[in-house]
Amino acid sequence: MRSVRKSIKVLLWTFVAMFVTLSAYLGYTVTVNGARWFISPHNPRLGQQQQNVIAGSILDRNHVVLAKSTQPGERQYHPDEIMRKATSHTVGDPSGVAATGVESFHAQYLLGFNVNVFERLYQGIVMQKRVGDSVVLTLDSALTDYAYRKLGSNAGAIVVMNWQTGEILCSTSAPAYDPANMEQYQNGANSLESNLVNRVTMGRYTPGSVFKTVTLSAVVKYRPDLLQKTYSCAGHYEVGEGVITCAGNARHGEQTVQKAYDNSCNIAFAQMARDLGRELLIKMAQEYGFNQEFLFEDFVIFQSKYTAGDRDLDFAWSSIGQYLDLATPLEICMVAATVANGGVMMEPQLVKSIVNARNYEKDKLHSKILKRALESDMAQMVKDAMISVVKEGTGKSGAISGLTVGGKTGSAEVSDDKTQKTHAWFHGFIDSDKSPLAIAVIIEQGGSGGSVAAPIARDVLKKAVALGY
Amino acid sequence: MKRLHRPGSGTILAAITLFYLVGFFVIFINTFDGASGLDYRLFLVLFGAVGLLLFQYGVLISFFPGMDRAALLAANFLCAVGMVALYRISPDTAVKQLIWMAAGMVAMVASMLLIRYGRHWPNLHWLYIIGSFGLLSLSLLSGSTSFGANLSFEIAGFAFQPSEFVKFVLVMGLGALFYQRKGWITVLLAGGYVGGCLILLVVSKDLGAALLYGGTAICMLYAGTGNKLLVGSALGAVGAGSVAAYHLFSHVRVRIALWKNPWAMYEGQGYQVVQGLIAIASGGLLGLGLTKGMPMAIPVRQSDYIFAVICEEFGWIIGICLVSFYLIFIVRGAIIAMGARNSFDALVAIGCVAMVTLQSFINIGGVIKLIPLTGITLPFVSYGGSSMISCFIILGILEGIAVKNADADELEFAEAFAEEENEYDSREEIWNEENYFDVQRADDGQATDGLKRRSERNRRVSERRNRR
Repeated sequence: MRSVRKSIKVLLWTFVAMFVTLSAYLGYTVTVNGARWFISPHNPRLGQQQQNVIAGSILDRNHVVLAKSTQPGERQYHPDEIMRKATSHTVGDPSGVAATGVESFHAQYLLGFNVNVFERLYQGIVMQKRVGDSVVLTLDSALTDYAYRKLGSNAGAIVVMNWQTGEILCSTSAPAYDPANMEQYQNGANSLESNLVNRVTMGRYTPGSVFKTVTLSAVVKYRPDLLQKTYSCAGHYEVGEGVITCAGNARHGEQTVQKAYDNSCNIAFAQMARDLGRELLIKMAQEYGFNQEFLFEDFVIFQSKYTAGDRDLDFAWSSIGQYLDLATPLEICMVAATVANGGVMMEPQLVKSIVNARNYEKDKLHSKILKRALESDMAQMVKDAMISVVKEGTGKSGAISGLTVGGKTGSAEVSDDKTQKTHAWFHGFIDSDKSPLAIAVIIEQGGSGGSVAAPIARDVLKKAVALGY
Repeated sequence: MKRLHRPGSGTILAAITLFYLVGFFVIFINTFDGASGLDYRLFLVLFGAVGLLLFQYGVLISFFPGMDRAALLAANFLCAVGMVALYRISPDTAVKQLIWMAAGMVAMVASMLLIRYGRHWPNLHWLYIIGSFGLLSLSLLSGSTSFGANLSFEIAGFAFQPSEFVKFVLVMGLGALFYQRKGWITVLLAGGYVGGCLILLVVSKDLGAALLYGGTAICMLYAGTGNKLLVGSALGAVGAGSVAAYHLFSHVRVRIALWKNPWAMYEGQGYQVVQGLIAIASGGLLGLGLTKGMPMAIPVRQSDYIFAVICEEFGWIIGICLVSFYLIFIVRGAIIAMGARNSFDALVAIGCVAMVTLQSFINIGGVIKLIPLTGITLPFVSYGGSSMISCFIILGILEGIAVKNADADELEFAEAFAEEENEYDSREEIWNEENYFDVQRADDGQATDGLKRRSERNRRVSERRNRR
């Protein structure tokens, strides 16, 4: 009998532990995933609530109104068409067709689901109709409009963030859609479907040479001895069954690591990767967020992928951002921001605050450190390398007079036989505490990163500085 | 076993009554429109449920003061939440549930009396074993299929789900086997018994019940033998069985895939998991408010997914309250088990507790995607005649053991009292003789002495209890 009692006690504690786990998991999972579940297009509550509530507004950081409602079920967007298109992917559309915009992702605020009991009672008694909360974004609409115009008729994306706080100041993607005239996109003409994709967070591109920043970081972090080494580039380098070449079949000759990075020498980097080994490069890529599921509070971002490949040739190509590597422009921007911020990766923020119907500001932005990818001295070395690229390497056209700019260009091959033009990439930053800006630019099949993407990045950053960021 | 102080059980009673009143009042003001007039069903369910509650608390407890009030009230709170949620989904269902609740109470009283006064329960193991197999094969042979599993069949228009009734039979059977303690024969018999039940359940695709019975059997094996090696190998057997089931049955693989990513299978079977998660997320911490949600979007909302309905409208904070009330039930159940006078009662009590614990864990865990979803009801909350009645029978068994414990306490107390009394009486006689002539003084002395005597006796009784 005594032993039975003892066992019962043990069982009781097990049961208690199980139920504590159950409660903790319930709270955890709803807090972490709740917003994502809630905005699902399968949620019938959203459509119903739209008819009962005057939805809140969406404002940019200077309180420029991007979307507003005056009565339930109705929605107005910014009067200027270009502005509507420039901010379309960030803001979203009224019926949630492009489902990752603020309109759907923050519907719980806009439609007043997140209103507390007292507020609800107050609205029920004092106001005629229920009113949702307004969402103030970190976005600057003027800068976004400028960047969108810079993209012109190209397909591509531009994202600018503050590397100290993680605030996204500009995020634009072309081709865009017009949230005020959605009919043409909903009727399923295939060519218009890609207009709905937010290329900044959902566009997964071959990163090409901008990935060399990751490979360089791996060298700095895990194999600093390689920094003393010189590699020789003879225009082609045989690995396994294939050959690695440099852009334009250039011969760079003897290359130090810094030189190789300045000239974006594929052959030197392929040899560096061979010295590093797969494991260290995979580790570094993951430190930067590749292969990671980012569950950001403010928006949805697709996963960026780094695959080392089993064949040596594949691994060599993967180390210079080809093979199966895929990255979103925001991820590439975050890599530059991390380098600029001393190796500390900040969580990107899109929501500055929530303002309720009585103009009371709540849920104000607080910057969050996502992780530390590099120690500060290592980050300083990578930063110097990026600054050198803009000073004397492939990124010269990214320079801004009077400011120290660091960056890296990329021209990503998207066809095996070079029949298509390369994607033009640039990621970089301004090395200044007064203007802590990081940028990523991609122009789909725009050609060379140095001559196409870098000047756009320069102009957008200049505009941002002129606007006071 | 100390007589436990029972603080605030009256408060809980008042709270449950208040919950019923407020709940139905909110539903009333939100659904009332002048045209259709008053809905008599609202008053029927409200007064019926409150009446049953007060009857249990007032009448039953005065007949059986040894009943465990906290366990009874915890079960009633769970019923109350379920009743309000069900009425909100469909008043007709709530009326039926009220009938099942009343039937469940009758079953509870009956099983309580049978446990209290029946003397041969520990010796009827063959009856339990044959009964379990019989009930399970019944559902396998003539069962109707619902949600991919053969679960129930109809008798006179009522869906009857035999596997619900095997629950307490299994607990009694294992209790009897482990009580008899015949070494390896017991272990083999118990293994064959449980294994047979599990095979029947898996073949009829009732995975939730299989998991539940297996878990309960392991808990009872641990309580009954305390043999860690046996428990370890039983866990290993369950693990191996699960792996085998994963490879053998496609519906098991589907469940695992659903658990990993229900969103990818929305068009198919992911539908209910996804809608459940969306409902919980829509409710948030404090809920959308009673009648403000959209429970009609949730499939199987009345039985397996009632937890999602509750979380949507009451908020997940009430979901955690629900879990806490299960915990109260579990803790009280375990205390009843520890107070039992023989190991059969102790084993049956902890078996009942394990059954309710695992069932609620498997249900809630499945809904919130902590573990793979298996079709199983939420005890005391979900709609369902068989489920309601079997839960109340389990409660009745526990209360029967509680009453037995209390009566044994009483008896021991009386014995101890009598013993002390005898001892004292002999001393008192001597004392009285000595002071025979001074009546006044003797009276005074007796009064103060009486107090001392009582406190001394109490001390000894409690000492004796602690020793045991």
